Amino acid sequence: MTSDMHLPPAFTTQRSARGILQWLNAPERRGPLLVAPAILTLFLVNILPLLWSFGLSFFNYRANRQAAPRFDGLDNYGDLLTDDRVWERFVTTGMIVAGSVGLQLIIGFGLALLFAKKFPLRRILLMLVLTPMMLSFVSVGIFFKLFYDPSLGLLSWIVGQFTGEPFAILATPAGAISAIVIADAWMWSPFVMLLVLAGLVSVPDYLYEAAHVDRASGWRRFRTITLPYVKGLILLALLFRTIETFKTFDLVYLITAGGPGSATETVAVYAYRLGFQNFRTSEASALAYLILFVVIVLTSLYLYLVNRRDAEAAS
Amino acid sequence: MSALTVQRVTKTFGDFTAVSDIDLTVAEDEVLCLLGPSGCGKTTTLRMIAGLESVSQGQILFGGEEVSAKPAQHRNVAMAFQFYALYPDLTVGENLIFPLAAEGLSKAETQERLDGIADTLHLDSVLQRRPHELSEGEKQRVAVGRCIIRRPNAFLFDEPLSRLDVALREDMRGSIRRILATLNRPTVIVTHDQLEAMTMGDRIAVMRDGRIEQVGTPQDVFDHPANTFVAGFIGTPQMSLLDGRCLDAGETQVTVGTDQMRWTLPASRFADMPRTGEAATVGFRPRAASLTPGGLALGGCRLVLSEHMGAEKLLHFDWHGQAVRVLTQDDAPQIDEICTVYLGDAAPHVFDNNGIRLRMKGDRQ
Repeated sequence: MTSDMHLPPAFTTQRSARGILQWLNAPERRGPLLVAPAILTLFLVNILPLLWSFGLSFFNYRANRQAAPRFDGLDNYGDLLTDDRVWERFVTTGMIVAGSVGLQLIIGFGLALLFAKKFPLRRILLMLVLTPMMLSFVSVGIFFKLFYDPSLGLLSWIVGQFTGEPFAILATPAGAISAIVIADAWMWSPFVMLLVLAGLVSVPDYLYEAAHVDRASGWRRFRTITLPYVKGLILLALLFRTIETFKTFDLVYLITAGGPGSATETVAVYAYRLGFQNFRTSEASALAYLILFVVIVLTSLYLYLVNRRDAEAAS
Repeated sequence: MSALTVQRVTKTFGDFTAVSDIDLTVAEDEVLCLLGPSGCGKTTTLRMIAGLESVSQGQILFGGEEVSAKPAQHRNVAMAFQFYALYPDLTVGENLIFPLAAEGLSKAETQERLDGIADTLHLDSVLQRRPHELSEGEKQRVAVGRCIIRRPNAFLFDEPLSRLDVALREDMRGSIRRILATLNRPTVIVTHDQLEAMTMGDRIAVMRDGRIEQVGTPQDVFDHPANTFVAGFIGTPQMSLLDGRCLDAGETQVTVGTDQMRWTLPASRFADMPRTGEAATVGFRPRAASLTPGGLALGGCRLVLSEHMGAEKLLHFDWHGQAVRVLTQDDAPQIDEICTVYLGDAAPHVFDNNGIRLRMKGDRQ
């Protein structure tokens, strides 16, 4: 202690700087300090814009005008919920979700039943079947746009072999919706298959053996053994795909851009149009929050099911 | 109903022979226990009888009718699995009546059988529960119940008690024995537990490396083990087996011994005579040996381990490199103490150079 007395004043200031570092470096502060930059970035680029847009949804504001935002209360929400066009978009989205998710479940389940068996080249085929879900939306979108093209597309050519005329699937509302459904199902059926396959391979062989000994029919074996084992996973796949498909933007925008007319305009595409083509920024924000609300409801359901499944597995 | 016959059955998996040329017959009111260490082929044999495993060679017959080529669904056998194999999504009641669907019984009859089984196995209070809500003992009873609710060609049990704790196991052993006595169907139980086999089986088939070493009543297998494997496998504590050689097989006396010891037995007791000069093994049960002087003496036994077994102690001696076990109620000597073990008047088991039992006069075989 006595040696401190001889130190020059400059050294004591340096000591206090080091003191701050030491204070920050204390074990209880080190962790929060290390994550702080990430939290800050997240707040700036993610949370703040989110809250900002939520705030905007209560104002009358256009991003391409200089005018100051005017507070409108719940007007945007009221207008949207009473607007037939918005409900139409929700119905369109619902149709695409129902068609695509239904198709994904059927194809995914079928593929899973197939791949639960052992056969030559199974692993290689499994890899190939999984490829679609690993591609980017943009490449899948462009691929299907070309596939559906009336003058260049493979589909038109194949149909042409029978009818002698080019086939424009995207020209009719029903055709366009099925085109979207097919593209989305093509891309995401493998995902459903993966989940269901996980359930199928977890069924112990001895249950099937017991059912054989008990002389149960194929359908009865499926109902009492297979289905209970994959039921939970199918529900998860259903919800997960519903949430994802509900938000569909990329595929629709790339393949049909919402057309013909507004026949395939999903709520996500409509929100995009409102916000970035019509620059009705605050209305678009409100619509985005309506979509978010639906997604949150579905997600809670999803999490509830996941938790229940964990609880079942634990018991 | 009629007997179950396994005729010259062999099962190979690739190069591996799991079961090799076995013959078995189980009468219609008989319980046969397949007993053996893990990997001896006993479960494979059971699965072949059930139709869950194909037969590589040989035949399986139910009452004279060949069923080897039939799948499990067409054999009408009831089987209880080691891991119970209860259908997880069905209640206990639904699990129990599951196999009855194939029998096309009326509702009333189904209910009657269910009530009977639930009553016998004390499952009344859990009929509405699902398998994951049951205790291990209840699961086991449901598995047995789902089996005996049927009127099949044969009952098959794969390690039915292996997953129960000791107290429950003893309890269930008795119950199952009583139930099996009423079934009047050929029954095969696979177990690795000799006590289970001894108490539940009318007859025991001891298996090793895919072969049947001996088939007989529990008493028979215990009293007259066919070879050194069965002798060492059946009975707790394990029989002491001392390797030696036949020193002299005379008209009146047979002398078997080692460098340290010789046994002289009257030749008149042997049904099969040993040959002079050939290797021979002498066996005796630990309960037949004692430290109290009397009869044949094994000098120079060094105590290596003393195990408390409740009322008795199991003493492990080293006798010139061979293990000698003595079950005694007396105080144990000190470890490393040199003692003399006496064999009293009990007749030892004698096995020839191939480990096959030399039959004595009065053996039941």
